[in-house]
Amino acid sequence: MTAIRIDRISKTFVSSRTGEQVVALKDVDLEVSQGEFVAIVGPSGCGKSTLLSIIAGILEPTSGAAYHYDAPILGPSPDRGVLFQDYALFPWLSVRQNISFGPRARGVPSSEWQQEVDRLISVVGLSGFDTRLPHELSGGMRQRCALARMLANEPRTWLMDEPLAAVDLQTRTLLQEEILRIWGEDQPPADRPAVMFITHGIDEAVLLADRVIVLGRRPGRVKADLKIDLNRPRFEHRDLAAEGVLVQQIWDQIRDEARSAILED
Amino acid sequence: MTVRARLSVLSIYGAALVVAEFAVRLSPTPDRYPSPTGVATALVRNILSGQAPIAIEQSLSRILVAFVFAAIAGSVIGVAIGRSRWLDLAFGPIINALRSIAPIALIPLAVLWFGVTGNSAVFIVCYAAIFPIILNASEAARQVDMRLVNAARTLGADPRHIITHVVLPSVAPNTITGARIAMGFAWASIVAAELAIGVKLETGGAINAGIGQLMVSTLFLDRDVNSLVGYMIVIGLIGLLIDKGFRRLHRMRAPWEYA
Amino acid sequence: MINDYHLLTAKLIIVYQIESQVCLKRKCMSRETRKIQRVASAVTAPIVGCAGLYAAWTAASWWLENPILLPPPNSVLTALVSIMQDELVGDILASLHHLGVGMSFGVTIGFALAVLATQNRLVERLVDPLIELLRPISGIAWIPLAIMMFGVGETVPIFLIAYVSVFPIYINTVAGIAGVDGRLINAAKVLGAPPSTIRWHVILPSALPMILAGFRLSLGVAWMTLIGAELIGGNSGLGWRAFWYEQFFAMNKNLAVILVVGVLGFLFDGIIRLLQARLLRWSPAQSGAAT
Repeated sequence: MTAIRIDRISKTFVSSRTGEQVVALKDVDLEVSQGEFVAIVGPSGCGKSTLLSIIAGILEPTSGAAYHYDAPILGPSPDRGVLFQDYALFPWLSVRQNISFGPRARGVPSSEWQQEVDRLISVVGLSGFDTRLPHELSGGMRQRCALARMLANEPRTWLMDEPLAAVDLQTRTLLQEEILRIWGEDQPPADRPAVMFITHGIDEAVLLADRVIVLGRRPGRVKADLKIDLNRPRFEHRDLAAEGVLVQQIWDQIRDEARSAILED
Repeated sequence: MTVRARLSVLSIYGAALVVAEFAVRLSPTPDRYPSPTGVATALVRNILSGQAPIAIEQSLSRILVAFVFAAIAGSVIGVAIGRSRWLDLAFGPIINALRSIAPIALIPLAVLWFGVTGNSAVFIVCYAAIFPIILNASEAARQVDMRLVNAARTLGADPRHIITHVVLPSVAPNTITGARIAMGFAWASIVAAELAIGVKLETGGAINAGIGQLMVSTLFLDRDVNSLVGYMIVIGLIGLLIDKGFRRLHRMRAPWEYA
Repeated sequence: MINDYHLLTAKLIIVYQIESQVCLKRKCMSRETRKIQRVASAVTAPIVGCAGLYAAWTAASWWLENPILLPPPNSVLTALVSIMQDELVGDILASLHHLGVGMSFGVTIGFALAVLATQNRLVERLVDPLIELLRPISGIAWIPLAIMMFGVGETVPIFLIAYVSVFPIYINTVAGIAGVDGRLINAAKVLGAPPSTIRWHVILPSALPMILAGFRLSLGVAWMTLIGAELIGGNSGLGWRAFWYEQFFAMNKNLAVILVVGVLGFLFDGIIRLLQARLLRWSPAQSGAAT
């Protein structure tokens, strides 16, 4: 079953200062199946985040359309959970209040979500921290809190925008394993959400995803779509050699554009 | 803003001015309220007669004297409490308590000490201006980044070079901010002080009258509401100029704070 | 008889003392000692400072030999006690009345204009230049015009308080609402929050630090203006009373009133700071910079 379908999407930004037009995405086609973990990589400026924002319903495409389970995407919906790059936790709410923001905002009676929120707090390993405020947490804990906040709405699709970019290397490895566990990598695809995971790290994409999509820049478009046939659960049988070959393959696709991206920015 | 938006805003304001003009002219007591044309003619008349420029010059020269006093004393006190924890503990609370006393409240005392002269106004302005200078000087003294000083030392700079090229540039932004706030306070309180002193005299028009005294004589002798509003506009413009000047200076000295 | 043993002991004592001196100078004392010293100076320094001021003031007034030019501090304190039993409460109430009515008007107008200006472009274009034009004209500069329009009385201070308190609250509320992190609004949207939830549970708390800071600024400038307005254009309140005492050369009472003005101003600011610390516990900047 198709979870996300993107149909010839283009997005053009007009700079409010110079009036200059920048084509962020051009004629992007993409499908993500139910239960599939898709990673998107590409040099900076390739429109990765723009694509994710369109699927989240925060941005509107200039042309083309996006569908979620065959319904056109017209705006944000709790059905499509988003994990933001810098967490975007509400600084004035405690861990518990942040996690329960979604159910409360949708007007779900508290008797229905109290237990689920408790469960999520322990699933992401924040038991005992539920009354803390975001600024009192470490980077990794903030990311766990943001993950739990997304999960509290029980979304059918996870949209993750470089979720691990701001945490240190050790925390990142731990969180990668946790994300796969909570996603349910040992479950049949019908029982787990579809994931769209944006990252700068090619090794991270290969390690986590079923498919890696490489975007090119100027204009942003799909350059390559690679299937990652590694065994799951990934962290139990890691095949560093096979991973290395795949990483090298993808890097070969990106290298030239990444270099010109650095020179231009 | 687009041209059309600008035009619509201007036309709304223009309409409001026209309405105000007619409202004042048609009111039973047109002398009690300012009218746009009345204010404009009064402003031009007072500037051309030299009355307003002389008063402003008087006020500004008083401010300048007071500001120099405040800047010297304030910098010394500020650096002292910024560098010494003990002095900060001992006098910080007293300075904070004095700061919360409105300078205007001291006008009676100043009048008693200096008489109904310009010196009283100088004292009040000095009092108003000294606190922002103290605060910013102490902040500047506290915040000299020792890492930068150490970096300069490892690069081979001698103490004199460090002071002129590291310490002074790094305290300049705070100092300018302090001076800007102090001048703002000074300008507001010179008007207040001259007003209060002028009220005491209940005669303005003396040769060394500042803008505040001029306003008092306009109020009690001439009863000219249009000139009053004209003077208020002049006061606002001068305040704005002072503020913009210091802001520009700050921007020149600390461009990195605007990145 | 002094033998080698005594000499050695004496030497050792001297060496020990020198070394302990050096030690003190090099700050190699234990952490506890240093902590005790810090606490001790935190307690003693303000006392020494206040005592020094008191002594210097007393000495100056004794040297001047003129209780009108500079009344000694103890006579100011006795004057404070005597006016407390007399008219001070009424004056404070009158000033609080001016402040309360004026700020209610000013803060309501400033806040409402700010909210409207952030919602509607035309309002923003109309109000913004007006605010920028009027802001440099201090409240004090309005006094003659206010006297002319309203006559000497309590309308003058109330009008001036309302006028000066509009600006900080307006400017800070606009900046607070404009500065709301767009990502937080997006986060609330994707979590399914309707617009009213976003307004009350995202935009309002985000802008609250700035709004409260604006209120604090408004209160500070209002208090300063209040005293001037009462002194020049009022017929009641603390500012007017300070002027009144000076007319009778009761400078000790005048200074006592000024003392009360300072303490009240300090108190108001403290209350707002407490409120800020309480409401903004979530903000790391606030909890750190509550000075």
